[in-house]
Amino acid sequence: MKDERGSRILANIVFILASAVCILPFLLMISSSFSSEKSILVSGYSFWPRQFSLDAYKYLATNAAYLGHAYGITFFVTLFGTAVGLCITLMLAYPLSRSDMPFRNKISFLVFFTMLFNGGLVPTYLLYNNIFHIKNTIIALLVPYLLMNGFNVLITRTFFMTNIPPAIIESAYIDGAGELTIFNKIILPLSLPIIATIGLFIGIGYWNDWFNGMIFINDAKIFSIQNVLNQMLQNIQFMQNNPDIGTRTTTELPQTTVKMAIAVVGALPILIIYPIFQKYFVKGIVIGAVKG
Amino acid sequence: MEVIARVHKHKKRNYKRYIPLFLMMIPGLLYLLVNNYIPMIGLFIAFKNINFQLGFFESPWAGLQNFKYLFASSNAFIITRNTLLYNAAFILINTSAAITLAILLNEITRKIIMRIYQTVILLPYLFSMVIVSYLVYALLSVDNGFIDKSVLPIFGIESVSWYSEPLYWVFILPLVKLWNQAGFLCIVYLASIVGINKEYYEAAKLDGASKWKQIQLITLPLIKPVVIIMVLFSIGKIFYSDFGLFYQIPLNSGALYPTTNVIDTYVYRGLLQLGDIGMSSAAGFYQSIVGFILVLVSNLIVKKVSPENALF
Amino acid sequence: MKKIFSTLAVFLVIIFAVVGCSSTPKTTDNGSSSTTAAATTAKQEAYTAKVAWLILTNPPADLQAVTDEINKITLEKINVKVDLDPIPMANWFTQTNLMLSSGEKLDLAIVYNKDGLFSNHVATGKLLPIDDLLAQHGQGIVNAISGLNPLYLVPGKVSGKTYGVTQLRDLATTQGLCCRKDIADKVGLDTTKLLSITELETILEKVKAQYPDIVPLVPFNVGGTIAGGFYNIDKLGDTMGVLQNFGQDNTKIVNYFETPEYANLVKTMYAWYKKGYILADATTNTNNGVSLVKSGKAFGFVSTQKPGFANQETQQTGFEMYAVDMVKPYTNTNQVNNFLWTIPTNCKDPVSAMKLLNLMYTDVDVANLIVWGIEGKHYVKTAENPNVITYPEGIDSSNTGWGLNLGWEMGNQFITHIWKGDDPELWKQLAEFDKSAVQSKAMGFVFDSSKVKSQMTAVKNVMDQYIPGLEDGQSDPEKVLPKFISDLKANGIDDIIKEKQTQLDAYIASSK
Repeated sequence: MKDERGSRILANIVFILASAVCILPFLLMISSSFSSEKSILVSGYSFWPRQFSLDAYKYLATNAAYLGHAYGITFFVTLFGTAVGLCITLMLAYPLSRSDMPFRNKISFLVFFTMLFNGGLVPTYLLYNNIFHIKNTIIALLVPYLLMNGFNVLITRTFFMTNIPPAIIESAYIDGAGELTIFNKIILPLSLPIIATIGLFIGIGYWNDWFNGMIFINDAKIFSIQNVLNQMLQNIQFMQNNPDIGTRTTTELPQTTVKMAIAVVGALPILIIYPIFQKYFVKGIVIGAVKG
Repeated sequence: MEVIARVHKHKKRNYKRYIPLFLMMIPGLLYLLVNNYIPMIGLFIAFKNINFQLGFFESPWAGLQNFKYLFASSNAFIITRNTLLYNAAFILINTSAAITLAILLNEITRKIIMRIYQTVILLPYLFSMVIVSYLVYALLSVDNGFIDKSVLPIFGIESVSWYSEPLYWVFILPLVKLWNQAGFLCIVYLASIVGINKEYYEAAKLDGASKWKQIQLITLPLIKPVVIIMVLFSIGKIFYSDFGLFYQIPLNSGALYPTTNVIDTYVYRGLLQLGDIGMSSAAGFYQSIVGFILVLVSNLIVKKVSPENALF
Repeated sequence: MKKIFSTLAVFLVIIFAVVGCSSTPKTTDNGSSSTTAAATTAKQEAYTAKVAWLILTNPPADLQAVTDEINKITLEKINVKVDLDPIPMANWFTQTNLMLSSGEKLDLAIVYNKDGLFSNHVATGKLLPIDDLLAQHGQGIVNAISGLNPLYLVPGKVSGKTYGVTQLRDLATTQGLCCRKDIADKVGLDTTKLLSITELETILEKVKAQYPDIVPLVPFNVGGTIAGGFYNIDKLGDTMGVLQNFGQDNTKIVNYFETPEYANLVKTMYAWYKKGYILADATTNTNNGVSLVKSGKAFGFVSTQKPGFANQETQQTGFEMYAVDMVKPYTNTNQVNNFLWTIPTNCKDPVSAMKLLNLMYTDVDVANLIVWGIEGKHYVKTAENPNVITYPEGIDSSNTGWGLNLGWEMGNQFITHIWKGDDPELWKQLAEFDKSAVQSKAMGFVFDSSKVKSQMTAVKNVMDQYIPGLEDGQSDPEKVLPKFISDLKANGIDDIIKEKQTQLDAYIASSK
């Protein structure tokens, strides 16, 4: 009994510390986005704004429509991409998890191999651009790199292998169910934990991606929020580094605080949505554990 | 008689049975073909001196010339050393930390609290390295960072110029990586721990085993498969680095190169200057080959030690 | 829910099949050939020229409107339509490198010649030689540039052939101190003559004494160094082997970092750092000189300057600023070829592309459209001077649909209007400035780096490692400079210099 309590107290202490370490930097960031540029330059960052100011957000507000549109694109891409990516990943991983599946090892190897070797940026670009012509279309944000990767497939396969007893499948088959029916009616309901986990991985990948937009998109109507934020940062950076290429559009250009505000804007949706999503995610794990 | 007939029926249906499963795999395999395999054909770029007026196929072969710059300079040793050592450190530190966290997290009885902890420690993983680099700067900036302005004065220490001293980063970078990754890895391992049958623990407790003994004899061995896969995978990527981590976090500061320059950043910096796709393909090729060999080797080793855990 | 999975999967396969099999290129959304193209009569089908250039703001909202206006003129005059493709800085290098590498349609492109990218593009065959095209269809360009000085055409050449043309802008430069007028007046800065480095030191000392809370000198650029403002050399592209005094005395290339001048410079920086004249955090500072002055934290910075600089900086910092030169105007290859208009190899109709470029340099309407936008919508003429323009009623920098402010990049801004707030004589001043500058003896020389590629990568890494500390005064030159020099040698800087000298000598001989 003492053992139990001891380990529980230890666990709690460790995690309170860990949580603090995880949260505090964000507090710094959020607080500085609400500070005046002068106070940062003079007295440094702090957990609470020394001199409250909305200047950074006012600057961002001048781009409000632009930002809002980019948010829309990102939401759409994330939701749609995650949905499709999940399907494909599940459908590839499940057959590979079946020990009675022919050619299973060879195909698994093919999947794994892609995690080690890649052709590089230029051939990929050539393929998607010259053959599929996806440049400046929304497909460019959905398909390259992010839709599915070997890592997710293998994790999913492992889950199936360790959590789905072959006996269930066999008995269903003997009762006359076809493979697709088994997949739909038996496997998927049991897979909620892994669906939640992989969905999370894929979703975050889409949300945080700025790379696809950077190489394939020039049409402002299709920029994702990360592209927009990245560009704002780079523009500010470039104007800082090359002030002799002078422009006149820089009226009030708070720099440090704007960067922090941009970061907050980019992070905010995740900060809001993730805790909500987490509820189902954890539930899924618990259900999976009990049933397993 | 019935049984034999059933078995007979199964044998006949054997391949037909699996057709739906093969069909299911098609979208995924197709995607891998398009996204991953077809571009591999482009690897030959590493061995050519591409001239665009001649086109890809007519350009002259360059043998191993594009690989020269990777090895030619005194920097080659430094960047290879940095790449390897950092990755080894990351694997060791993050894996042990994540397992520890997962085990501890499993001890928390109240689900709500566990959920809160889980949410919080995963948070750092959700953000891109650009944002993280600003967080680090908020802490370490000499002029107005939190550490220099608010923490050090408490101990009476003068301002430290973090971004000019390479040595600090040997510790800073693994710390940042740990902060970023621990929560994520913890979830993966936790999923595995949670799947362990509670009866084992009951039985062990009845036998009088302490908590620590339970962990040693039940938990750790049973999560071995997952751990091995994760570590094997990391080893395969050991010549690759998290570009964001090594480029953004040190703010691309030249003074820190001795301890922050890795193969990926070295190649990127050189390429921004010379714009040479032959050289970048060569670097990518080199990384892939070495990684591939490493995974094959480690898989062989694992096969000898505990065969059921090998990847293939 | 499960049925949805399967359906989506099938759907996806179909998408792939359709996209994969289709060979018709998808038309993009921005400004490509509209339906009116078919309306042109017996004339040959108009060529659509794709034009890419670097922008520093968000993509302009009125891109289509401006494109249409420009097309009215270009269709009429040269039977060409434009497809404008402004690319933000963040994506610039990646996208342009990819476009040039992949055979994508691109007819006119700016090359931002960072770290020798231009010569590299030429060496890998990504750009077309344009001498004949210039002679036959680009005389307007040639005349405009040679009007300042025929030598300004030379930096666009590699091995005697022209691959790019520069723009009408500040092609020369000086260096000097730019600082707050109020403080400068108090410490007695003499703005009537060239400022020497010893005089500057006296000024900094006074500023430090009288204004202890203000940092006297800060870097101009983020990532630039304080000493960088004092260089008086032709960097020959990359500072790996330079010409001192712009080759006016001799054309021997030296390792700048080994010279006594450099040693003195960094020793001075070290001394100034210890005395507190320069910014403590200079190497990792992420705020540029302007914002530091603006926040009241700094006195001034040393930087490159040009006519109108004081005015420009005054507007940016909010304090009235002086700009005092420390050297006479000079120019070198890099000043001229840092931005060049080029025609990529991918261009299917170089004649049309050249005609379009020529229009940009000579046609007042086209130039004004592309630089300032549409009259009435993005700007209006002022009552006092029809050549001076400003925002229309209700528009400002936050909601204008064409606030690019990149006149210097677009070709010939000297024939366009002047924005209110700038000196109305600004274009004349700039032209005079360009004409009068000292031309480096290595003008037009562009180093072909292919033989020493790996050494250059290695040396660049060494430079990035040592220069910030030395030139911001944080490293002790006694200890660090010798190490820097020996590291440079270990990584092949002498090979680079030797190769450069050979090429430079050959270049000078052949251009006599």
